[in-house]
Amino acid sequence: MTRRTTKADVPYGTLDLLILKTLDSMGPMHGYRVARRLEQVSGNLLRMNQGSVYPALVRLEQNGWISTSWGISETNRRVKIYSLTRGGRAQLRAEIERWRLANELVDRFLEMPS
Amino acid sequence: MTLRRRLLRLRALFQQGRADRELRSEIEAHLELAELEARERGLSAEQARRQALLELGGVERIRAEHRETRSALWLEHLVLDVRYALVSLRRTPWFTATVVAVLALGLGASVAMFSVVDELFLEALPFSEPDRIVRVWKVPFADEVNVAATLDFVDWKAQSTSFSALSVQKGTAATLTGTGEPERLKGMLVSADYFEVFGVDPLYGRGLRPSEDQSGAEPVVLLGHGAWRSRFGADPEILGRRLVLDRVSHEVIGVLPPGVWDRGDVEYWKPLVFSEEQRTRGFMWLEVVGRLKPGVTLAQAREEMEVIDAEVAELAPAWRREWGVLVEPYRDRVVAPSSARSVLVAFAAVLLLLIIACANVTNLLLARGSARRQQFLLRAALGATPWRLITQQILEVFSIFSLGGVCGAVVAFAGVELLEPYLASSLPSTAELGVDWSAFSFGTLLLFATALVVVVLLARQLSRQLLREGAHSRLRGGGSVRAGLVVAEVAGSVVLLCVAFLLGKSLLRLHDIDSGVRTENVMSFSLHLPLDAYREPESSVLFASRILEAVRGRAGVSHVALSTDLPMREVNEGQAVLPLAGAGGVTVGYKRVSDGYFEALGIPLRQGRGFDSRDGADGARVAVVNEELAQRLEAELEIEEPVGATVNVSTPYYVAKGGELVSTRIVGVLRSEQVAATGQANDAVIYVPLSQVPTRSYELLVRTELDSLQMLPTLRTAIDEVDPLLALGGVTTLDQVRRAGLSAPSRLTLAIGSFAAVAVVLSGLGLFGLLSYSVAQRRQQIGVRMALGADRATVLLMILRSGLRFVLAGTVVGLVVTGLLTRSLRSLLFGVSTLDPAAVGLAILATALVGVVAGLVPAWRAARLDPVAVLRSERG
Repeated sequence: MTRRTTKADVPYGTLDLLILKTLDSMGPMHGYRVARRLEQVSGNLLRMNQGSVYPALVRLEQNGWISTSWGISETNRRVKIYSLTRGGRAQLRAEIERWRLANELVDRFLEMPS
Repeated sequence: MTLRRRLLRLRALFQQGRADRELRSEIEAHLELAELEARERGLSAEQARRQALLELGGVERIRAEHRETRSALWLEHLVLDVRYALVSLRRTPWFTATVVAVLALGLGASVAMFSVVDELFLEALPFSEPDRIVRVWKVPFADEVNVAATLDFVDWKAQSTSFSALSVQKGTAATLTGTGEPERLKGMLVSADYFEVFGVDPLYGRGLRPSEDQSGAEPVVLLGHGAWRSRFGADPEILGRRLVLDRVSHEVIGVLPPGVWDRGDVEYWKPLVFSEEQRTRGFMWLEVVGRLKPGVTLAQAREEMEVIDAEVAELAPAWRREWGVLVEPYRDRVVAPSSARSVLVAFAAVLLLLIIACANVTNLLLARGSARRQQFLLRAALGATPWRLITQQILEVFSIFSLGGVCGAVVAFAGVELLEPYLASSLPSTAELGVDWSAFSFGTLLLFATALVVVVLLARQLSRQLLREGAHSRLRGGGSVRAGLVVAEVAGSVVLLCVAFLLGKSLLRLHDIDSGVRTENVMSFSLHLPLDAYREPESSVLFASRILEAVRGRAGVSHVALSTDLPMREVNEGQAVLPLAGAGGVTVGYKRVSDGYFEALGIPLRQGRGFDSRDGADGARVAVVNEELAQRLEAELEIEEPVGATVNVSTPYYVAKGGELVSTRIVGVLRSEQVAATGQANDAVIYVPLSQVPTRSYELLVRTELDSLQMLPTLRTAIDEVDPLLALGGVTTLDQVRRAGLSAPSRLTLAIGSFAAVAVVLSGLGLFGLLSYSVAQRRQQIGVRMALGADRATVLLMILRSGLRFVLAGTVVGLVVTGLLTRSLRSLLFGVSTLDPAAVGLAILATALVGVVAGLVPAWRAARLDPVAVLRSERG
């Protein structure tokens, strides 16, 4: 019997962080790749439809953290290629820092004897 | 959200199509790749496709989410809501049109009226800093002011430090020759710094130089703008041209700007150069105006002038040594107090109308809101949030108010255009009458406030509607607000109606008033004798007798007379009557008339006699007084029997300025003729024979047996035969003069009357709406009653009665308010008390009538209800 893992619905903020980090590590890629990568890395911890990545990408683009250009997919289709901007890189660092701080804070409380 | 993102979201609203297409191709690409990978894993084509779709998630949901994220959708929804609101307004065109019309009328009428009020009264002086302009008078007796003597002015100017400019102002006239027929122009004699007093710069040319009012200066003249346009054809070369006025050549040095002093017929301004013989203290003839120096208050100026005047008092002749001096704001005498009052009343009426209009609109919108209950409940059940519903209401309300505001602006413009010709003659200047923008903003603000109130009330109504289940509950709370509004509207209309009827009755009284003269078929000609042809007083007397004879001889003429002033107009000249010995005196109007004047105008004698052939140049000096003067002689000079009494009368010289006291015997007392605008009290007037105190300007009055206008050519010929070189001034009939005096009250009555009419119609509409709604609400109750045996008539009366209850309440409130306005109205009413039963009764009757008519249709509809159908339909 497999343990039922609780899958998380991802809040916006975290999704942004994941996408930015993905683009940072893997370089520019198109939407499908991003969605796939998120799936792979998160395993079954992440419950998210692949399609949800597109609204998130639009938001990131409007904030100026990623930029788009056109490219050709493996199936010879025109697709948008997303890449991280300088502002995006800075945002990523900020988000990571915020995440670490949040974690540290919670850890401190979790270390308290119950 | 950053600004950049906001802007991008806004832009995305316009790029929906492209964004959608791009997303679609991305999704297709995504699916293809997913399929490919699935196939590589070994799935069949169909399974691969299914798997790809599953992993992708709902395409529609992705598209919706994408759209929501990328564009500012709330804006798009708002635009949709606005369009929906406009469409729903269009679906009930009559309702929309009514509301818009009410708003437009209310806003437009009030703004137009206010713009006129502004021009008439609040900004009557188009000068810079008009509050710094003052007049300086001599004060002979308490509450009276008098013009000053030459040396008074000279002393004041030389010694006072309170004024940055001090000038005389004296009306005059001259004959213009050299341009066609000789014509008589009205002008103004002024000092060199006159234009500085008013802060007026000439439009063309220059003002007066300081040396130009000193003796030896070259004669110069400035023209008014109206005169330049009409008389000189707006000649662009007017500067430097020479005009011959009274045989003296003047250079035109400037043209004044339009609007300033274009009223009052003054066409030219020239400097007043005092001649030696004019430098006296005994002859009072000059109006003095000045501008206070910056930093000097009115009180300070008054004090200083009192000191200066006291110092030179000893130099004045005995009879005016006691006179004081007064400095008062120029503004105080610009608009007659009665017209100022009437303008304020009109303004209050306008405000009332605006409030009634707003109340009416509120009522109408609330009624519609409650009628839509079913619709709201349905939409709420289908998932519309209360916020959406109220937003739609808000948008409707604001759309309709905006439309009303725009139409109101149009009405305001049209109104001002329409009113202009009627009011042109009573405006102090010809400045263009335009819409007053601050008034418009105020009106718009009021409309906006009303819109907010309506929205709040609608929200309250909506929340009540949504809370109650079912469609049958009565909305009590909302009902009382609407009822209150209708009562207020009725009250307002009652007030306006009362005022209108009171003014109307007063106007009728004015028309009937005995002007003290018979005015039918009397014509008058203004005559002026040129000085060089009539240098001796005897020549004037001779002319007078010749002209009287010449005209008298013509067929169709029943009476002829000469007088220095027309009746029903103010007497131009003032003199003083003093006792032979002792102190005291009375300032009087001074009229010179030929014998036969009293008979010609039908003015009866109370005592004594009029003038006849005894009273020639060689005879003893005589005078006739009017009843007013007789009373004042008794009160102040203790002369109980005027006829036979001898008094000193200041009598002017023929040519020279100034006069002397002449002991004069009073030979008769007249019933007062009217010497002021209709409805104003008469002044004390003394009449002296022209043969004893001749002059060179007078009015020739001719009473004809038939219509006087037909005799015009004959009369002109007669005058021409006596002296063909005479410059004829204005020709008019006494009926015209009389009508002119009535024009102001007529206008006011007309204005208030029309407001009252509109107000009554509006309240009728409001009442109609309320009753219709009430009937609709009470259908079940009515149905029950009818089923229990009430017949149609009973139902009809029941509805009418409830309608009349509102009318009664409104009438009572309205009458109370009118009673409170008693004091302010009193000065406008002539011969009518403020709660005149006839006028008030008429107002109540009119309101009741409107109430009945308004209630008739709903009452009729109620009476025609089929009880069975009503009861059946209301079930469940």
